[in-house]
Amino acid sequence: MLENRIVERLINEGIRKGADFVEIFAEDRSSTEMTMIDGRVEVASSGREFGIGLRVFKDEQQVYAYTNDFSEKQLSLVLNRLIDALEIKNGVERSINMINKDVKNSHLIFFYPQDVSKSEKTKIMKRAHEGAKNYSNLISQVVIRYWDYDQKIFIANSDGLISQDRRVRTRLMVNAVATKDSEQESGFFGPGAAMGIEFFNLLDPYDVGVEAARIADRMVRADYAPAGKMPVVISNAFGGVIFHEACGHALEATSVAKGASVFAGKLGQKIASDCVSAVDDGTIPNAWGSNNIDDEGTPTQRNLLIENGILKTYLVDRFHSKKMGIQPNGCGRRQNYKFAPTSRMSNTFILPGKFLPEEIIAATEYGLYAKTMGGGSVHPATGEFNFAVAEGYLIEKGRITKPVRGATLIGKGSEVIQKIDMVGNDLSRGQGMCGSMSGSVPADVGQPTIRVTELIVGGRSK
Amino acid sequence: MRIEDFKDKVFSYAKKKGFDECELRFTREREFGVVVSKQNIDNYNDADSLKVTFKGLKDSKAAFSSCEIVDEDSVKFLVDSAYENLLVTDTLEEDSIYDGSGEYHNPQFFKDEFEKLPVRNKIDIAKTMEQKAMAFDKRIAMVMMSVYSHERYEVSVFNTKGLNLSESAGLGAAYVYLVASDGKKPKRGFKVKFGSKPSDIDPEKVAFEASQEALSQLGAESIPSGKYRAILRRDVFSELFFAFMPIFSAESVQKGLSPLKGKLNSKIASEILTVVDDPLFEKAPIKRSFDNEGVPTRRKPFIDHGVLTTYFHSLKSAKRDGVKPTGNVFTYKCTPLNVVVEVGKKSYEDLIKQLEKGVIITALDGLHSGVRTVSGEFSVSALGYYVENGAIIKPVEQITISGNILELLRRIEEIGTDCDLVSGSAYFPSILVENIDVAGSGS
Repeated sequence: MLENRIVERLINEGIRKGADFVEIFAEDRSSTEMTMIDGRVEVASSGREFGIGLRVFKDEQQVYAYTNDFSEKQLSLVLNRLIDALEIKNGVERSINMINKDVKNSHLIFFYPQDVSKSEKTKIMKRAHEGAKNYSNLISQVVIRYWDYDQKIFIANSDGLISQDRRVRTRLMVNAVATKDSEQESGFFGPGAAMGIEFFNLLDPYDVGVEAARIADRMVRADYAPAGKMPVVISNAFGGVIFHEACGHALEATSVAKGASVFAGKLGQKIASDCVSAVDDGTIPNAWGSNNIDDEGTPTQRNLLIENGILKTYLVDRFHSKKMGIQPNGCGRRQNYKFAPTSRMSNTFILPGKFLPEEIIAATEYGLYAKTMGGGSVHPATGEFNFAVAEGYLIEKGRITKPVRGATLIGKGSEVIQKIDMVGNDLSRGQGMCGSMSGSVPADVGQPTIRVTELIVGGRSK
Repeated sequence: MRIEDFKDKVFSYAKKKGFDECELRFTREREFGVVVSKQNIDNYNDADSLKVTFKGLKDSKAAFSSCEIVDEDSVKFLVDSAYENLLVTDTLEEDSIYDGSGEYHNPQFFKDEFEKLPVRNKIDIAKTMEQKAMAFDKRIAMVMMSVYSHERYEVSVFNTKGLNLSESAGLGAAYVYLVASDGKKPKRGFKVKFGSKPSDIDPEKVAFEASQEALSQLGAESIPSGKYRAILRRDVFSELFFAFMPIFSAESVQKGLSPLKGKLNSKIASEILTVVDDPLFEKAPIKRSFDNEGVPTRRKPFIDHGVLTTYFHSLKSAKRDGVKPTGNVFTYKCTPLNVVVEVGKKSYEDLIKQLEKGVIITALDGLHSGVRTVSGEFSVSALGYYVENGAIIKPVEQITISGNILELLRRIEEIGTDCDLVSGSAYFPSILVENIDVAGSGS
């Protein structure tokens, strides 16, 4: 993508002018997006993104710039604007020896997206459409979105690193709408993987449609969720969004290094209930949030965040590592070259416990069973989080009774992880997009079924 | 390669490939932003980028592609990949390329005074905002972000029907996000101000208002679940309204994805509510005389005294409904550009008096997930104050509000006179609504 000679010259120029650290990130990404509505492809679009980002550190400060112009002259101009912004002088004359570091690929791809025809891809969408449409006669509309991309990245920095990697991702998203009388509700299911089209050999698109339709069909028949504080049992897989929002974001160096997280300064302390252990693992082969190296060139790893309630580590990127005195642990991520990387989650999940999911329900006298979760968000400084329940049920006398809709769960991260009192043995993961300072990145969330003794359920009052 | 030459090459190659008509849109963006934390530059972005979008039409079917480099390879990529997309597109609906008819206002050219401001000054503004916020009160524990930013985009639309349009738009913003603490529970404060030139933005005021907001939340508690009379402050009203903007898109309505289906020309809101899409609104920084399809924009109420008077149309949706396109295609969606709510009769203070007993909602969280545009339902996390005897009694946290947007619009009892530019494209007042479902502590 870039000649080593130019990269070396630019990095040396930055250091000579006084930067502590210079990084160059280049990206070439091809993508396909298609939308099918009512069984017909309405929009098909192809894109090619091509850009370069430059980042400079000096003391405790960082600056970033990007451009689509790869000429040496433009890059030098951009670099000098960054140096000027930092008002740095007195560089050192040193010659950096750039070493090409080969990246071991742990995420094998069998069918690259661009090697598969678009008509094959629309067959996948059609099958998902059938799955949803055939589910029930209440399904009034089905919107299918298909998305794939092939991203090639190049990273070089003043530590002498030159690295290249290629990331392929494929995702199918189904939104089904159910209509009953004058009421409408929708159901969503959107699995994805760091795989090529072979993803759909492991996963039948028909079942993706069925799952979205099942939620819509169930919810259009549901009453509104009750309002108020109650025990909540959260199902496995995408249910892990609760840990992601309530806890994960507050463990990112971005807020911890500033002392702006409720978990800052708590390494080695007990922050969660004994039954909670959680990891962030960017190495899982072909998982949606996995990478060989992060967007700063650091190999990804499995980070044990919490062990039996004790805080073991934070997620640390390069910029914040110096402030915190902790080595970067492979979580520097960005949406694309238009963002400077920062500490982000990859595949984050609570580890399995000892209970059968049925035991957890049976042990609950009254509460909400959140079977399918929507998205959520959090303010790391105050720990206030919220997330939507896409499919909920009432639990009465240890049994799941009627479906309820429109529930939002709110609480504070530091409180909720102490209120988890039962953890199931049925760990699995779900896929989502995680938004933060450095844009929107693919991330897995996960957990076994868990119970929280008390949460505010935002439903309707009687 | 010059844009003119690139355009000619794409058009001629597209014709050769078999497209009947086509359109190219160039968007050149300039972005600058500096984030200060503890008087250090915590993040800084200095960017220029270009995006080219191609739309090709054959037998009234459209296909799309985009790229970020203007060269020979891109000519081929844009046309070839769009042609491949065309082959799989099997919609029954006809799309078109705009013929340039209708009345265009003068193209808008943004005078970018932010760019002229030296970088050093912009960094200093962000640093000063942080200092002012910290100095405001000793309970301000930390400024998470103090930001000064601006952006500009130049957009050009060309098509084979001879359309050749260009204009630019841009804005600047300053915002402060901070935390206040009384040693018990930390509370957040956020304030943002937008403008079309640096003098529109008073950074000190941003810092003070963010500080005041956080301090006023100290000691907040949840309140019991129930139905409450409520004021939605202007920024909250605008956020909630914008979250439901997709329901006004004709495409959503036609596809059965909007609760406004069949409601054109009927009453959907309180008759005191009039909402206007005004692409050339004087007080809004972003002004546009044409949309991304090259259709001229125009000022139009879409809720007129409670009555839904139009949906937002693209060329495609307009053709299907047999109406004229409305000039509302921005970022691929049919959406208004500047939304202006007509001013009401009561000041914010008078609204509180009229509220008598209830809640004021001053912030929402979780709109991206707690809003269902298909049904109009919402359930989102909220912050605010509790009011009794027409006066604020205490701050409120850890509650949700829920309901249906159309029901909420029907229940508007009073509209404030406190209209302000609460985002780059929203000029909104506060509203008083009869009741809203609140979930909180207890049941």
